[in-house]
Amino acid sequence: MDPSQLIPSYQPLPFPLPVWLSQTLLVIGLYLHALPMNVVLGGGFISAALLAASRRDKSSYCWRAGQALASSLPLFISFAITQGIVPLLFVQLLYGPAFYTSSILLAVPWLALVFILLFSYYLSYLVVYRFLKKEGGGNLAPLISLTLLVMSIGFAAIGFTFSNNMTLMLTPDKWAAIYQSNPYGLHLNWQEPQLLPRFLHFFVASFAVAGMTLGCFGLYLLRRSQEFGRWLIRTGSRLFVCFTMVNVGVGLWFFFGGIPARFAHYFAGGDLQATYMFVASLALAAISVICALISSINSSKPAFLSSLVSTLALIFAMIVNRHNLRLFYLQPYLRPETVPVVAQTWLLGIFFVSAVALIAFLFWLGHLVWSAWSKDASVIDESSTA
Amino acid sequence: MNYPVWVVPYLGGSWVIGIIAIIHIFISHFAVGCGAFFALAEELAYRRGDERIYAFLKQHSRFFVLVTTVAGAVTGVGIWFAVSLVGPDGIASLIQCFSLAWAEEYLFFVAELATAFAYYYTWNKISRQKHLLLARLYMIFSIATLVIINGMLTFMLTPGKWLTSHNWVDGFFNPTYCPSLIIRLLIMFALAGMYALVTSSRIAEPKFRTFMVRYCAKWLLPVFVIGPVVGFWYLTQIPQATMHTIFTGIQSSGVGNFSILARALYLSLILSGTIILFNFFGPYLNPRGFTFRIALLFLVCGLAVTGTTEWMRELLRKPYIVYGYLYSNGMHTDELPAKVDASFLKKGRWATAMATPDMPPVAKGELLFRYECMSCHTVRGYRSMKTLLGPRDEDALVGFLQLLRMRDRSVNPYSGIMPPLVASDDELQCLSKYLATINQKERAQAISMSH
Amino acid sequence: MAAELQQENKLAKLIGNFLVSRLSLADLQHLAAKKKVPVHKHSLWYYMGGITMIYFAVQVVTGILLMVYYVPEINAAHASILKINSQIDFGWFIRSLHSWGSTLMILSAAVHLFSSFFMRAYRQPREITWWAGLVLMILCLAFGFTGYLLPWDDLSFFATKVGLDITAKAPLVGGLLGPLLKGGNMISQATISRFFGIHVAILPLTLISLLAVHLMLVQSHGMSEPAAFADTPPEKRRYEPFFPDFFFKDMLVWILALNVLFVLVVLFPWGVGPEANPFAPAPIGIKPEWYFLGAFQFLKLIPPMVGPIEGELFGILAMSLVGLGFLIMPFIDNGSQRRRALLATIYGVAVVLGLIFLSIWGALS
Repeated sequence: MDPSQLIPSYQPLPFPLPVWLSQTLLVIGLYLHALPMNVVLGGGFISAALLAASRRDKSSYCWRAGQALASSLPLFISFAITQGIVPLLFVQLLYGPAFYTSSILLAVPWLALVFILLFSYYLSYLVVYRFLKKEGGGNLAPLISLTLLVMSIGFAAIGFTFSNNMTLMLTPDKWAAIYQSNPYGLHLNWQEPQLLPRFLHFFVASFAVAGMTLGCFGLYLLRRSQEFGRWLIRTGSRLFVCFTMVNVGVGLWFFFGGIPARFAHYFAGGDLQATYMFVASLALAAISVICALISSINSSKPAFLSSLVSTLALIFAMIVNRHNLRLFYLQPYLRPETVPVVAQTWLLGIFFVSAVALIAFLFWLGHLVWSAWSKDASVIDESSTA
Repeated sequence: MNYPVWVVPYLGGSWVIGIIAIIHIFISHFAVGCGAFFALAEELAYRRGDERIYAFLKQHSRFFVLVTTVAGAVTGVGIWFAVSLVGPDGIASLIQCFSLAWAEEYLFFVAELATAFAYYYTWNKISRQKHLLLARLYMIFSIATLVIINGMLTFMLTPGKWLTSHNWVDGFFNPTYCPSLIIRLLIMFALAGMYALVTSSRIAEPKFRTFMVRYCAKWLLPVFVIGPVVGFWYLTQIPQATMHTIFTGIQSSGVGNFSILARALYLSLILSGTIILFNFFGPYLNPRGFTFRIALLFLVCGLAVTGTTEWMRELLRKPYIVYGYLYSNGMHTDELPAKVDASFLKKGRWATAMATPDMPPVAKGELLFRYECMSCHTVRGYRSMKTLLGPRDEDALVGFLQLLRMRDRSVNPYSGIMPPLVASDDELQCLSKYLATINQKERAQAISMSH
Repeated sequence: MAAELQQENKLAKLIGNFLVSRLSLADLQHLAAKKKVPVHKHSLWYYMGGITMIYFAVQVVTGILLMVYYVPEINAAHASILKINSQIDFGWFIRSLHSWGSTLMILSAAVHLFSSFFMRAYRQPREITWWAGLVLMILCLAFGFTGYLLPWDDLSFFATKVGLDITAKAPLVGGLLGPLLKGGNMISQATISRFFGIHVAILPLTLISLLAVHLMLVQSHGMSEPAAFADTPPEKRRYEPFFPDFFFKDMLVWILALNVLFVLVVLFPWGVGPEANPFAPAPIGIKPEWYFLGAFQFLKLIPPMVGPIEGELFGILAMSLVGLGFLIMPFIDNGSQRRRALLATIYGVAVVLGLIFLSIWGALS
């Protein structure tokens, strides 16, 4: 069956904003989602490991770091969910015909994701309120680690389901056979060669990001406890370097073994814009690893900061790469540019004005909370018991 | 027809959405109503300098954060997921129309959640004026999220002038926008009261508990005093045909002929009555005896009334997703072929692609059933075909389907309740052949009875 | 705060004072205030009697309304029910309330009976209350049995026939009772007339009088206290006044009980089968209403002859013995010995489990 016959049509309504703007918002939105999401995914596993490693010594840095990371998770989960709205909205607007179809083929795991999320989210609160808050939580340590591990496996499962859907939506040639085998939505995209390397590439990256998060805790704590702060920066950087090195290997697998050669070719000179972005991301990866390597040895603040900044840029670049890959895949099937645009100018104006207002408000709010908490001496300990 | 159909046996796709949506509405309405509750109750505490109310609010805010930021937010995403699996054409239309309104909604969500966390994490850490300010800000942001989403929700029942202009403002500020906004706000206050009763019931000190339980009970008053008036206003704004369906439903139910709509309406009324009486005899008259268990029971009643009322509201829209624009089964009204016996399987991407020429008639019938009927019916389960078909044989089914093809209300009594059937004569035969496989047992029974 | 509350209730107070002085409610108030309800983890069961009573009230009201249209005549009974169900405005509603109400009333009465049994409410000085309760339970079942025939549809006809045949086999009184209820040798107009009379006149009068006795006794003895509660030192025992605390909670329970009834009625309105044809063969697998299913299944299980005794007679004797156990329980377990209390519990659990098991078996077979 000709797969292009299976691409549903767009609704007979105009788009309310230009495609380039939607794409920009999609990429920025996904970026804002990816940051907290990575912290949660990697942070869950790493906090479980830190707490398990230090289960006998609750005064060790390792335990305190794990505790701080675990206590911050509920907030990051909340951010990740909220920031997911924008990319989910614009992927539906721009690539809905492909996205809805693949979602329906994976309906059951796709919907189950919501319940796994609910479950894991409550587990994160359970850890904070029921376990960490309790006095004499030492004997609870194995339970805490185990809970965090179960929670994290839940999040990893969510990520894996997403990878399934995001890859299946790119390959309409598989749809008909999958649907005809059964219409109950009980599938996953197992046969896809890019599925595993792609998922692993994102998954391993989240551990590196969690390392960066620990380093950020360290930056904050430098003023209060020089030694602990330096320990956090050093440990965080080490984690980052290790996992990023592993991820280089996974990335190679993804690039050479996962995606078809014709698309890989676009990133290696075939498409100028895509190549620039790809090279830039490689360069950023190199910079961030080198800087982190330095800070992992001498806990240097400037080196860590440089690594942090280049990592933030790197994640953005990687998201653009991911977007470019999607464009290459969908080019023959789906062209949002062909849908007429009747811009809702007023609403667009309101949106941007309120976006600026929101950012201003968040700064004010952040300042308010920050200064309220700074009055307390031992912030990290407090935040874990709040 | 445009998309593959997700087959959900027994429950039906609509209840997949329904179950998630009812839970979400029950929590999200609480989230908004509680904004007002925090703002007003904290003001009370501030004016009186009453530490006990502060302590109560602090306690309540943890419950609030745990319920709304987790279950509220996640089920909200859940609805979105479910809707896109069950009715992709509907959600795609809404998104293509209102993506910017949704984006705006997102901004308020962020503000709402950030403020909620700030409110929760700054108890006794910032000045009381500032904390009160946070409560008020939260109230404003949370109500703003309702102000936006209400436009999209009411649009589906009463798209109003949008049908001709296709201008988002017409669709957004549609005829039922205002009454619906007010009713929802009132319900939100009531739910805020009900949830707060749960926290109040755990207060140890009897005198303060009496005070707080009564205070919370009063939050249910507005919806029962103003609600009916606004409800009437709402009814004057809904489409004529829907009004007609309601009236016929009530009339025919008087003599024992029940439409699902009439049942949902009665249930909603009965359960609302229960809430009024319960609230009066429970927390209001007997605050001392209002225990935690009773409070939870009351909350369950609240969930029941929310569920049935939302179910009824959804039923009002039948047979459309967007009234007068998009049918429940994903067919656009302007796609309806002029000729009564035009073929269905030559329309829409997936429906066409799935219909291979060498398909056996029953399989073809099943495909038609999937695309034309399954958005509302299941084979056995909710609105079960097995039950509805009874012992009809294939000839009777053909006759019935021919009736369903008609678009004239005087000929087809189901017109306006069900989308018109689109099928060529051949397809009609296939569909009836398939339907006849569903009620085989019933037919056999009927035959054995008559002998 | 207190001042505010007072202001709010000014009008209510005014009316209240008026009523109190005119109806000499002060005595009643005094009585109600004196009555105390023990608070413990089994307090929940205290509500069951009240629930049964509210369902009975529904039965009285809807029953009277149904009498307006119901015709107790062999050729018109079924038609009149059909008319109520499909022509009288909201006739279905009243009838469904009555039918579902009967089911819920018997259910709550049974729960009340067994919960009182397990709380040992039959012990001294409450023996007569207990016996009155047992008779009330039998009256409820009799209500169900007589009411079931009145619609005169297929199912009710044959189920009643089976029931009456069993009654006729009962030892001693069977030979008399069977024909007396039937009004002859077969179910006919006479049966309808008799059942109607029993259902709307004899049973209500008996039940209401006995209920009055039952309630008065409850009032004079106060709520029974489970042993575990009575054994705790007095300073640890908690009581709440019957009025207003328990009373208002009772109201809540009533509201919920009515709510359950309404929801059932709206979601599953009671239908009516085809008209009874006394000359047609009985349909296969005819079953009585759920509250007789246990007994029915039990009788079905007994072989035709048990030793020298006829099977059904044996079954009826066995069931009578079980009933007798409840009747004489106050003498067996009078609170003097632990062992006897344990025996009572085992007996009760066995009966409940047996009943549930047999009923489910009956429903599935």
